[in-house]
Amino acid sequence: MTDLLQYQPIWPNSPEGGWHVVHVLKITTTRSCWMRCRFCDFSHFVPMIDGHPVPPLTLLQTSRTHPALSQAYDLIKVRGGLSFFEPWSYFRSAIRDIHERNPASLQALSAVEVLHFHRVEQKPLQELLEELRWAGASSLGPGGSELLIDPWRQEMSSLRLTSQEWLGIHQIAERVGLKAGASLMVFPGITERQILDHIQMIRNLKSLSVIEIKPLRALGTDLEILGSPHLFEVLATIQVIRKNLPHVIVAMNIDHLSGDVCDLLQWHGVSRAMATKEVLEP
Amino acid sequence: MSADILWVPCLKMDSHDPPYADRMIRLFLLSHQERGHVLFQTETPRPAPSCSAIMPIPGCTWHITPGTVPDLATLNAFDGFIEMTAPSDDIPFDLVDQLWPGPKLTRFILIRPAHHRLANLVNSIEKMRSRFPGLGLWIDQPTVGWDALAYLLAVFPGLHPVRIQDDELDRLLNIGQKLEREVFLADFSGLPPIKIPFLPRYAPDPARHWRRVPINPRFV
Repeated sequence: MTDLLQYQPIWPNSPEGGWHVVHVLKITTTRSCWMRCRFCDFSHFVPMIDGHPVPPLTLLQTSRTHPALSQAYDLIKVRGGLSFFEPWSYFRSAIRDIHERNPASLQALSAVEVLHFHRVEQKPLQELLEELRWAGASSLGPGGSELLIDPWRQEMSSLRLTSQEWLGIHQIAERVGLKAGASLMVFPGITERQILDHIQMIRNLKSLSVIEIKPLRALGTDLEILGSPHLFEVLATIQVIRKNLPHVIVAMNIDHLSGDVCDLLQWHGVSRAMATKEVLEP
Repeated sequence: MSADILWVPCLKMDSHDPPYADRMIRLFLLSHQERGHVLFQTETPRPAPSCSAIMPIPGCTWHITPGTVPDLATLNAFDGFIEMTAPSDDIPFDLVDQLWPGPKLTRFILIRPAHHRLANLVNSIEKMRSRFPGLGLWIDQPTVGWDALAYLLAVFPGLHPVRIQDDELDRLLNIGQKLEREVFLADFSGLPPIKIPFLPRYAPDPARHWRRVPINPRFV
């Protein structure tokens, strides 16, 4: 099989009723992170910048007072970088507050954050995930599943968790009642083999119903030189996923996409569109 | 040849002094290896190997714009070739029926109105292709947009883009590269097209470059 990702043009074919638009409130915990993943712009590594300490997070305040949480959403995503100072209980409380203020389905943190707190606080993974469930989360975010191929991960994000660690955490999450969430990052030059290897890994999740396609947004990252993936690479990736995981819903963020791209994504099998409002730390 | 993509650089010439116009055309052709199409928007076109004018002038292809579609009698009275431009949602099918197949109509350029959805544009192109087989169909990139153009070139291998500026050629080459189709520099003068080499691909292993940096970026 050739490694090249080949786009197969298809005729306009709008699915019945179009796609389902999910209104998402995205709450960013922090834009600081020590992991320095090369595809991520949450990379303010040093806790002291020019002698100025990184201010404490405002997540708890946001979760209690932010007006956006009084509005109706289909999904609330809580995610961000990795904090140095705030303990697990801080995030758990914030998630609990968010859940109490808004009835929307809550996708809280990801395997990356869970493993971080597992290491920092020496708490069992299952306990952390059970607490997350108790706090009101209904699913674990797909963070960390950009491409579940270890040589690639070693190159791009050597401090991030391994594919097996990601899978293991999501399998525990499934057992405690959190829905699994996976994603796939489309970067320029992605090959069919890489997509198939990624699919092979996420097939191990029993409750996987949605896969989120994330084209690389390289601006402000180490990979800026690569630019964004071509439209054909995104469409071809969707085609490979639809062929190999026909039962899984393909979702995509449509915030910065043109009408033409939205039409093309629908014809190619994206059935869930995410329109996002973001709450950032001040 | 049908699967290749043609890039025709285009120069719009307004009313200028003949020496200035000649100089501009010369420079334009020189900078495109003697290939390039000149569209005159004046009654006094200057000699150019590949040219058209927005009014009927003997020896020059008549470029008919949507606002100035003449009747069939006027078109038949014109002794020369015609290139017709029309919005994709209002194609003068009856008029084209009278002209095609025939020697006069050399190419048809589709312009996309802002409200015209991509699915409707695809239907218009398909209708043109099925009703007028063999007619050279061109599509106006600035109104169609890059995303739609990429898709249309993939779906309709016989389609060619027009009005792509020099500084956007890399985007066309990128599409050609992804579709594994050659891109040729061409015009309508009869000169053979010139193959444009693809741009070098990005480094497959960008980390290689990082290792050349004396400081590990992770600790900068």
